Amino acid sequence: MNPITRWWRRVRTVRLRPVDPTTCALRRGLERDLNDGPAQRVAALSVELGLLSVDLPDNPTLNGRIDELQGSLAAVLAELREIGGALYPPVLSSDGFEPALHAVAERQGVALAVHSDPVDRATAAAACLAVADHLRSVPRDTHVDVRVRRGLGSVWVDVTEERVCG
Amino acid sequence: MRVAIADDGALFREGLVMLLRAAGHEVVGSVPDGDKLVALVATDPVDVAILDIRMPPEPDGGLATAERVRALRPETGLLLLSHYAETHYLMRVLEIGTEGVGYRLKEKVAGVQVLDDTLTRLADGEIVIEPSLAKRLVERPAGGAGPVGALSEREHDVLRLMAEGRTNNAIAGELFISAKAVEKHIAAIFTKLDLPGDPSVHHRRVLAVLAYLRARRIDG
Repeated sequence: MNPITRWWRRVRTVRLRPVDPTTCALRRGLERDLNDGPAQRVAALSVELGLLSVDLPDNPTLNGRIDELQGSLAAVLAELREIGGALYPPVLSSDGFEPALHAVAERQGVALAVHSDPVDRATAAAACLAVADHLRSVPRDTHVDVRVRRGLGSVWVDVTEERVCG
Repeated sequence: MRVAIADDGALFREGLVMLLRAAGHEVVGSVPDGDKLVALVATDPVDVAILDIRMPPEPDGGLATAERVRALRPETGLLLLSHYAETHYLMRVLEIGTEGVGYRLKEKVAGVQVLDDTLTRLADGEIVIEPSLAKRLVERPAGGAGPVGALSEREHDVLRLMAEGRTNNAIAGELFISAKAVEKHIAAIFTKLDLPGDPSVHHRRVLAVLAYLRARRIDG
């Protein structure tokens, strides 16, 4: 006998408010500071350790410890990267709204479709941050549909999520 | 090997210069932006140029500069470095060229051996892809559904190494199996995933694998 498979689709739509311009600027600046400051320094420290390793040939014990330290620094950088990406997705700075949202969705394991009215760069960034923040709470394998609409003097961001549960 | 570096972070850049010299390479130039690098390789050709993705000219100076270097000196290997491992940047790197191009995290090239390996592969015309990014791309979906979920453990390892841009011999060395066995696994992967193209042509194979993995991640 065939097992009875139950499944249902769960659909919900939420309306998001674009992030306000001051917060956008602040978040962009913080991400940049993080990237140019601590992240750059930690990466340079890892290079220093690599150099130390060159100066210690034939010392497997110390070289092993240097490897471990480099691994720890890589873990620190991974954490900084998480924070930086959450503050301001790097692809948003370089390539804009849609590629940035796809990059965030890819990291979260979420399938994404974006439909947007033409909006200016600042508005697109504000909408992108709102959606990116929201995507962090969406379960993996959800299908997400983002619609950015321009109304009278305001912008609406509607996010429809569809999950197949079974 | 003759190498030039462009990165606006002086601390990291100067460290890398010392590491390259320690590895026996000749550092022809070390500059803080893309325009200076282009001027440099125009007068003094190098085997490999190393570029930070995020440097002047903003906003993605490394990628724009790499394009210019490729147009000017097509035979120069290009290594793009970043603090972020993003599929989007990987695809942009592969738009610049499909031979002798690489994309790696900065802290992951901080050793003589890995740096040497990366530069040699680039000079040989290979595609070099950050292993942690390749790993993320080949992650199995929850529940093991879909064609990637249907691969055997060994085939999955081979797929990950193909996504790093590794050659058959390198994959064989990494997994302690014969080159013949690698070929067999690759043929099985191409059949199971229904991939187009000839798996024996290195860059076509990497592109086919990446295009498949990326579409899978985006379309769910």
